[in-house]
Amino acid sequence: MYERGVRHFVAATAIIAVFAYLWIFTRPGYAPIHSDGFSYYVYLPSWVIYRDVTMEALARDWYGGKYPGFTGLLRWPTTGLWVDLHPIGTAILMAPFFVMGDLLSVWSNLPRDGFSLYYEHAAGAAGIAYLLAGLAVLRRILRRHFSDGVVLATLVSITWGTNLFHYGVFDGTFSHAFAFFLVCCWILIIERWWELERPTWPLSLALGIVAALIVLVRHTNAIFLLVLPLYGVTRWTDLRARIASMWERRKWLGVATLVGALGILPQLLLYRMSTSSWLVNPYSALDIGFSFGSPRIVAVLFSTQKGLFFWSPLLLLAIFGAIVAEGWARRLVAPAIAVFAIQTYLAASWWDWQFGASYGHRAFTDALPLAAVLLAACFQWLAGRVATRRLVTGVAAALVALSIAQMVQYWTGKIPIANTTWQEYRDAFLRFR
Amino acid sequence: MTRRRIAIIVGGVALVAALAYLRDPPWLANVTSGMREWDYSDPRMVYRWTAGRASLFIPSDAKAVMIPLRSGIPGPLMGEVPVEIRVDGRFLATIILTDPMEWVRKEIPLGNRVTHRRFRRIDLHVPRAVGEGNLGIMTGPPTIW
Repeated sequence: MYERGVRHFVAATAIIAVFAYLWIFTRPGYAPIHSDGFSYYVYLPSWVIYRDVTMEALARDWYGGKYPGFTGLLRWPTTGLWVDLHPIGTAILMAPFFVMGDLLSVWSNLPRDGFSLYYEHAAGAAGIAYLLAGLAVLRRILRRHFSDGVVLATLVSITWGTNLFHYGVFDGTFSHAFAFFLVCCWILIIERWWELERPTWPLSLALGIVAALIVLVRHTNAIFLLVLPLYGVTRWTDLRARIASMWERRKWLGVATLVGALGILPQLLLYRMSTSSWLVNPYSALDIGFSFGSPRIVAVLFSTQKGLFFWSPLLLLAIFGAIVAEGWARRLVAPAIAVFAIQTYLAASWWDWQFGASYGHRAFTDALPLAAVLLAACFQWLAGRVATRRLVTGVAAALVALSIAQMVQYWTGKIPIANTTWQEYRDAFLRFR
Repeated sequence: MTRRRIAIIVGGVALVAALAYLRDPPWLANVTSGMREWDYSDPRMVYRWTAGRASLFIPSDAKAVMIPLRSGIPGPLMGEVPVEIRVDGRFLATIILTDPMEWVRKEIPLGNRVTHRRFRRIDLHVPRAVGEGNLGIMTGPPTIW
């Protein structure tokens, strides 16, 4: 039974995602390209349709020369050129879908303007496709090390017990589904890369490409690159051996680094062209950024506003998983802890620690593949303890159901998009009317 | 024949059928782009706002079209708002909206260019986007001859 469930999980999720997508985006006033999704996407119409890397032509054509505030594009103070707050990685991954939407628009005589029917749904479909591709890769990783029952429980928990499904469907044009897919690929490649006595050139090439894309999708996601050196490190004393083994593999590591550097070059060139600097924090032009001296760590993890464990309490099991992890899963405990600690500190120090309008805390969505491995480790530990397993299964099922209910409430405006107070949460609790 | 080959053939046939259907789909009449929902708040006129670009579809046998236009909000240059109108990407006319409160109704001949499609696409282009709503101009229901 579990084997069939695991085998058909991605297909079943695809069907549910398509129905959910149709339900959301056939309502008046809802479009897949919205909010931050605009700035992730806008590179594509600007580059392909307007043949303009400066984004000036699109601004002139659609907005009389000036992008509205919601778009996340701003004129750089010293050069007067447009700079996008969000990097190009999501647009690169969306590109095949955009091209299909563009060709279909010409074919059906729809306006070739970058925002008509097919463009909107091509961008929305991209989010779903990368969510599903990420789940397929995650399933492949987990199946190598866990039983089918554990894999199925993990996939269900990570997809619907967190905000992952939401960021593949409702906010599918944001970067998170794309980053989720890339981090899944990153773990898969790293596992192979370290397992082989002599890594292959194609694998090292893939390592560089995926690393570049991870950084291009969200610059702060560079913290996921730490998984490579920390994979398999379970004690402090392992660190020295790891440095030695990386030195032994310097040839392949060098290739991956070179490919990665070449991969991020277009973004650097874009920054250079728009701002006269190679390395830029676009938010600095808005005078916003990190307050590393006063991080809101408790709020980021536990608050009603956006607390990670308040909105996705199931992830507490992943914390437990980090403690009880055995075998292969232990190799990912140190990287997961390092990434989680840095991610928490970064999110908690960001000027808008809630990350604007979002279901749950989206700063952590990109790291869900790592959480999934620890969740699987927890479920595996429970598998041999019948009474505890029954109790946890019941609680986990209830938490998944709660997460789905709250996600639908968010979609229908029953839960505030930000700044949710305890009173507002209580008033809206499981209310759909 | 293997299952894989059957799946490829079925997929290919489905793709060709879908493309043939999407060449000239009947539901295009109801498709718009860059248009907000109809606003019924004014009892004298139903209207909807456009964005900087907006498109709608009319039957291909139409000889002329009249779309009521109003700028609603004065433009940046002497209050004028130019609206460029195209049919299937071909330039038709530019209408200048001078009075923000006046509805301009101008019949525009569509020409005799032959099309094998059910619908022609009308594009409106306004070089502005005003306020949080990203507003272009107000348009009323089109009249077709």
